[in-house]
This record gives sequence, C-alpha cells and structure tokens, in this order.
Amino acid sequence: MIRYALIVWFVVLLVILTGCGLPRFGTTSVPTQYSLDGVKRITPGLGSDNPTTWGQNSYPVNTDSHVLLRFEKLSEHTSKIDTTDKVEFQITIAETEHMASALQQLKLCPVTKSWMMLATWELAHPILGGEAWSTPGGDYDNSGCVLGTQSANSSKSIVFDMTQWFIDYPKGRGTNYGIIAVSSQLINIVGEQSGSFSPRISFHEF
Amino acid sequence: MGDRKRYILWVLLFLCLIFTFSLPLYAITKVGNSDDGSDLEGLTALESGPIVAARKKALEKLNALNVQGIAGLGMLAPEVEKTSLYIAKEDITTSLASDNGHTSMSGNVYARTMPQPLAATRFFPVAQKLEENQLVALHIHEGLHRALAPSVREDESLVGKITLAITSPGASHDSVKKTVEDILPKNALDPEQKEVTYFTGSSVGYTYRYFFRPNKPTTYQVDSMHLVHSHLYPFGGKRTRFGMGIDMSLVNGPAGGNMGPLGLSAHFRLFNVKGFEMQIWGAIHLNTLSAEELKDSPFGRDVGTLGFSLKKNLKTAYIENFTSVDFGGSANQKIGLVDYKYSYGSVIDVKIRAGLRTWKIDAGGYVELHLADYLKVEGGAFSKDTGRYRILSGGPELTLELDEWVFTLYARALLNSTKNANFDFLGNIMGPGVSQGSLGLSVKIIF
Repeated sequence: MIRYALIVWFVVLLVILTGCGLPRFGTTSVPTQYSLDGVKRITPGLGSDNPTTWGQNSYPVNTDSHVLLRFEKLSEHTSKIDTTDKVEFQITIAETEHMASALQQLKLCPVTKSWMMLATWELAHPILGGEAWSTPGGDYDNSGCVLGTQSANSSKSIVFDMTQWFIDYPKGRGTNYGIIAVSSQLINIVGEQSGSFSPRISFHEF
Repeated sequence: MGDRKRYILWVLLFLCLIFTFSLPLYAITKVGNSDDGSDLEGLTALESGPIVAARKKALEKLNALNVQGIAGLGMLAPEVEKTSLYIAKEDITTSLASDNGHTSMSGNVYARTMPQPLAATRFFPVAQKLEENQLVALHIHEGLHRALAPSVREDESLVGKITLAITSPGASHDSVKKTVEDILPKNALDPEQKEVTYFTGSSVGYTYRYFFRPNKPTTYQVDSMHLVHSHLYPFGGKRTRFGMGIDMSLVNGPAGGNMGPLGLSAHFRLFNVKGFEMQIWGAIHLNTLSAEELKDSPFGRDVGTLGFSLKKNLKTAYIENFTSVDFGGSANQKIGLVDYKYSYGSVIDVKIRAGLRTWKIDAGGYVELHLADYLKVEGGAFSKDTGRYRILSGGPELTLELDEWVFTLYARALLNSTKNANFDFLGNIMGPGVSQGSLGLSVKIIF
C-alpha cells in the first residue's frame, strides 16, 4: 500500500514538474553559443570587395552604415533548437560612451532578402547579374526589430531576444537571411575579429 | 643495155627516191622547246660547279616558300631537284619563240628543256657567266616548263611571271600563291592539289583585350588582359599538321596586374579533298598557375575545352563553323569567414564566322552562342543557381595580312542572354572573356 502511494506521489510530482518545464530531459542546461561568421558592413560608396567591410575589430552603425549579421551554419541546428528557450544575439559595444545610446537606439532587425559577403549599400549581392536591395541599406522587417538589454555577463554587451525571428524565418520558412544592425545614432560595435566579444548567437538545443 | 642492167638501174633509182623522201623524218627531231635538237650535240653531264650549286639554292628557296602547297606548283620542286643537268659544247643563238626568257642580250640561249615531266635541262656555255641568283631563277624557270599543267607550261609570259614572283626579294608563300591564283586558269591547277588548302603554318603572337562593363556589378573586376601565344606545328605532312600551343596571360584589374591562366593546347589540322580546312583541338587553361588573387576568385578554375572547326577560304570570301565544349568545374572564393563555391556546368559553344577577302584584308564578323548547364554559387547560408542559360554574342573582325605578319582587330558584344547572364557567368577568362564584352587587338607572325 505504501509502495503504491509512493509510486502515485512520484508520478504526480513528475507531472507537476514537467508542466513547469522541469526537468529538461534532453536539452542543454546552458545555452550553446556560436560566434557569427557572416558579418558585413554596408555603407554608401564602399564597393563589394572593399576589405574594410569585413574582418574588422569594430564597425560603426549609423544612419548610413549598417551591419549585416548571420550565423551561416544555423541550418545545421535549426531542427534541434528549443524555442521554449530564448534565441539570443549578443553584440558588444566597442566604445563605453556609446553604451547608453546603444540600449536606446541599437536595433537588430530580420533581413528579408538573401545576401552574401559581397553585399553593398545598393546590392544584396553582385553575382549572377546582381540583385539590388529594394531599399538601399538593406531590406528588413521593421516590425520585427528588437532593442537589446544589458548582458548579465558583461557590462559592455547587449543581448537581443531574437526568438521570434528564429520562429518566423529559419524555423517557419526555412530561410536564414540573418539580421541587420541599425541605429539612428553612431554606435561602434565589436567585430568578428575579436576572440571573446565578437557578435554571437546563443540557443538551447535538444 | 641488157635487161639485167636495166633492172638494176630501176632498183637503184627506186632506192634513191625512197632515201630522198625519208631524209626529213630522220633529220627533224622534236626536242627541247619545239627545237630541232641540234643543241643535243656534245652534251656533258653536270655533276658539280656553279650551275649544280645554284640548283641546290633554288631548291632551298622553293622549300622555304612551301611551293608544294600552292595549287599548280606541286611538282615544281621535284622537277628542279630531279632533272638531269647537261652542258653543251657551244653556245647557240635564239632560233625559237620558246627561247624568249632564256637568252642573253646578244641572243645566246642560256638553257633549254622539254616541256614535259622529268626532261633534262641543257645549259649552254654562256650560262656559266651568270651570277648565282640568275642561275637560281633559270633553274626555277626551266622547272616551271616541266611542272606546270600542259595547257600553260609553254606560255613564256606566264612562266616568266611566276618565276619573277618566286625569285623577287620579299617573296612569300602568300605572294607566290596569289600570283599563281591570279594568272593561272583554273584548269591549269593540279587536279590533286586544287582541292587542298595548305595550312599556313605555326604562329607566335600577342593579343590585348579590353573588357567593357557599363555599370554592371561584378564579383571580381577584370579590366584588360595581355596574352602571348606560341603555337607550333612541327609534325605531320603536307595535308595534316599536328602541334602544340602555349598561351600565357596577364590580367589587369583595379589593384594592378596579376598572372593569369596558363593555356596548354594540342592542335590537329587536316584537309579534305573538298578544300576545307578542318581543325580539332584540345586545350586546358590552368588557373592553378595564376596569381593568388585570381585563384581566390570566381574565375579561379581550370577550364578544359575540346573543339572542332571547319573553314573554307574562297578567293573573295571566307566562312568558318566552330563548335566546342567547355567542361564544368569549380572555383572557390573566401570572403571574410565564409567560403563561397562557384560551380560551373559544361558549356556548348557554337560560332559562325564569315567575311569578305580583298587584297590583303579580311573583313567580316561572327555570331556566337554559349549554352551553359548552370552556374551555382553556394557559401554559408547563401545559395543561388541559375539553371540552364544562354548567351548570344557577336562582333566584327578585321584582319590585315602583310606577308608573314597578321594584324587583327575584333570586338565582342553581348547581344542577348537569359537569366541576366553575362560573360562572368562562364568563368573562362581566356575564352570568351568576362563582363559585357571586349575589344581585342592581336598581332602574330606565321611561319
């Protein structure tokens, strides 16, 4: 009798805990973090193969300088990402004095057109005859833009909750056009050349 | 007089009559240029000396000009080489119309021959006073009397003009060929050779190509290109030639010049009896030997080609059909942290060239169609595939031939394409080039 009571009590506890989302059978307890490999600055006047538009320590984000960001290998993880947890992008601000402005002005927005590392202010890509942005500076979904919050792990970093972007685009439509960093005020962000503070994505996987 | 005596007298009279009437048959012998053969007396075979040495010089000249490949002159060199040489004891003066062109100012005949193959050549003592170049011309002149078609071999005017064309300073294969084609009637051409166009030879040359790109984007900008080629055909016979070629290039862009692809090729030319020049070739353009900047670009792939062409040169026009296939390949380009792969499908290329020929100029144009399987670009999360596409192009060509030198000016313009394609899509700098089109200037020497 006591044995049966213990079994029932255990099952009820398990149901309650699972309903609360605990324990996480098969998911990582710590989010996996990846450095973004697709980082491309676009600004008027710079050609597609201008070497200052990639591989830099920092990039300015302004009304006439945007940064395209993408985790190129996201498709290898899409089916395993747990959307009950956040999919976050982390951007580190290069100048401390830009931090306050970044929290108010720096937005990450879903890009809505396929682009490559030879993109420019006018062109999403120059290959195969070229494909222009509908709007110079990049095509993005303004309604999906996200402001960030201070990272709990670094006073210089801002995290952006892009879970909805992941659900709407890579998971929902199978398209990974990445995101674009825009701002109405000048903010310098750390580039992919940095080992510890490069732009990155984090998510939980099953 | 007795009957016996009378009978003997009639027999003797009869024999005298026969002898008298038959004398001309023995005395008149057609030898030489319809002469009476009196110069056959006292002939000595020539084995050495300036006349024999001059024959060797004459042969060298004929071989240098490749007269064997000129319709109507195919037997000239063998006739000059194989004729037996004799020298007479005494000079003779002009007595035949056929001696015109064979005589000195004082009317002494230098040489005579029969207007038929393999006849001997008879020189007279006055010929020994001639200079070497005059003896060379004399050997060639006499050889023409035996080598030309029967209908023209005794025409001193024609033979003299051809002799002059061959022996004049600056004579070339093309100039002799033109003279022969201009003055010999068609029925005088060698029935075997008139259906053969002889290949003009190997070539070494330089080409400059300028690519124009009116406000069109590109992944790797190429502004111009310098090409140097050396195509040598040392193997084969009169009707076929086989050889190899090397092409080297320098590619210019906004950042300066870089070593471009290296081309290696094998060519096989042959001629059929219909007078068409047929060529088969295989080539490979090795981008692996290019500069690093070009290797790490969409054009950094090796391109293999197999081709076939048929060309017909008429007196006033030319036409050529040209077909080739470029095999697929790929190139890689790393930009930042992303590797892009450009995959090129195979390309079928067909071209028609045609134009007019006048004096030393060929003026015409061409139309060319490239039909490609695909071009795929993949890297990271980016992927594009054109699927099958085509490019139609064309342009003018202008060629000037000055003896061994050939100058060509040409242009290529994109006329029509699907999928917004341009020549960048083909990834073949040394072939059709890049961008929207090009302008080219080449100069080469043929030998």
